[in-house]
Amino acid sequence: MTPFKASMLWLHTWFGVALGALLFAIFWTGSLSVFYKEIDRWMMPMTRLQLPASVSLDAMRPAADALAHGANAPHWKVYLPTTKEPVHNVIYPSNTDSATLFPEAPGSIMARRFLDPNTGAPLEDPGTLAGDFLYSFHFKLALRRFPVGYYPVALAGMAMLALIVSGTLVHGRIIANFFLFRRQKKARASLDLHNAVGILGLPFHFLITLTGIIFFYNLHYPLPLSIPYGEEAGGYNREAIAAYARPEAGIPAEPASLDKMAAEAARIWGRPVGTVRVYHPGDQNAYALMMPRDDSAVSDIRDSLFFDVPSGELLYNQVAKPALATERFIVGLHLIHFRHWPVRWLYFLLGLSGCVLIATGFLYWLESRRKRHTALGLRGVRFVEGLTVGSTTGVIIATLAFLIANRLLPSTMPVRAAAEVGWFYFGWLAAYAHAWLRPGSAWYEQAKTIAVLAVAAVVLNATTTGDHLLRTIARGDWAVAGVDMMLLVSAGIAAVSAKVLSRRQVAKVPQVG
Amino acid sequence: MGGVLALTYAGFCLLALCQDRHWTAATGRKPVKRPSRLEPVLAALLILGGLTLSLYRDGIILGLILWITVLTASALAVTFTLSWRPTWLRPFAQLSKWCQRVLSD
Repeated sequence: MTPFKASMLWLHTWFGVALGALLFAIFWTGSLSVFYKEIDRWMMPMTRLQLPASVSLDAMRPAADALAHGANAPHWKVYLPTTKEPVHNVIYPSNTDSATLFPEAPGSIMARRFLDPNTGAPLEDPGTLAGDFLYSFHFKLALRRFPVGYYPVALAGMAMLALIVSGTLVHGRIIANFFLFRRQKKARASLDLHNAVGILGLPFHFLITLTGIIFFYNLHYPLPLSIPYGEEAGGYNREAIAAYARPEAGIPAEPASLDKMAAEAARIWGRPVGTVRVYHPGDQNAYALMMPRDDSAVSDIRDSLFFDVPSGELLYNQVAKPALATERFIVGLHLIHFRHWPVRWLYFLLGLSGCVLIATGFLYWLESRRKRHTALGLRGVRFVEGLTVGSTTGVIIATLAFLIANRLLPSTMPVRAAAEVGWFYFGWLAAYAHAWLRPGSAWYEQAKTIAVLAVAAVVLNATTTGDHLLRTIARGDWAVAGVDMMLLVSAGIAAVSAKVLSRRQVAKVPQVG
Repeated sequence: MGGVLALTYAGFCLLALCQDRHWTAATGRKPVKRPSRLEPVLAALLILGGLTLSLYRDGIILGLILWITVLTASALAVTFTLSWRPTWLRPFAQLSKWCQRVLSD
């Protein structure tokens, strides 16, 4: 092995071991985020509604105004109902968010409420972060109070790029081993699978990691933006996204019809309105920012129209400039907000293939060292094995604990959403503790736990909401039915894995004795 | 969608059979005097056929995304077929033999 290859192997091995646990959690929550609206429907039974033929902004405006006034918020934003999220999703700055245990600085946290798409009346508070928790874990480890979670994720992302490149350079026989997976040979199986998934999945893993890093370029690499905009906070965003702003007048005024403004916006773009943000609701200087929705394009478009709310007059029309359009295209490749079911499923499966890549990397590290470490009396293998179990099957157990908590906690409970998140972390910590305390049987027992928990989640959904699989399929509610079916599939895979693992354990016994 | 998957899967099967190890696993016989030049060409045509189909289905941008992600999925599918049920590749081995006959005639 040349010194260069040896150095690449060193980098690949130790970056992998050091950051694999974090990377696995990021790939896992990222894969689930592909279906995060579907997970939302599963975790928020009150939003399992039919999308009406037409929805009215004027019908929902009073409720949104009242929510914003109640929280003393200067603005509110609504995501209009879609087939995937058939309710008005209203967010506004608030410091009385039910999801946090700690008092927050005013305006630092966004509260979210759902409104009925037919009447515009507020729905019962779901008391859960649902898919949003998994999604925000994916890019900032779900840290809400301090914005530090982005940095470990960015580090892991850069490390992933380095791992992809170094792994390809170390791999000696790319062509010869292109389709190779010798699953019967214990010594080779994990490395074969690691290589096959790594090489065959390379285009996707590279693309998703790179676009993920570019997503937060201004956080990781703030210098280019600080040159033209100086220290002025948000200067770029104001110019690129929201070039219009005006202060509150302090004089109350009746609003004109938001529906008419939305119709005008749709006429100008030739696309429907996706989001509306109203600044200074109820004020004479109230204005509305509208952005379009386009399910057929990759780009997450940021064209924006500003309307004077009391008169309904168009104030300003901002068309995304080329640099922003390029950025939105790259971001769109990562977010896949577009409507394309085969690609969504492929992203989901290839994201999970990233999990397989990381897990098999760990397994190879363990298998190639176990004998030597045992002979030398080193603790490394035992520690990393616990780390591997806790960060792979452990995060799956944590996710299932989160889903089960969602169905078990009473709806009247204070800080209910935070309690659900507590179950997630408790499940994860328990899995780590178990993995380190029972190294011999941790894999088998955690696989069995996953199978049991996944089935329990499906049963709890059926018993607490009445929406069992037969009913959701008959109703055509594929979001809820899909989550249930994926839970059952996971339970099946976990059960088969547990069986294989137990057979291996039985096979091991005579060798030892 | 199914067409894209089928074409790229078939292409990768032909490519895999160009390797002696996989040929032996699929047919149970040691390979003789192969592969011919035609198989990689046919494989490339099948995979490009998949590209054409996905571009036709979804346009340039979404079509390319679909094709690239399907490539990984179908190549992994071939890998797993070879690992669990290698004999399923026998029809492609027949196709490969036919290629050799065409070239030798």
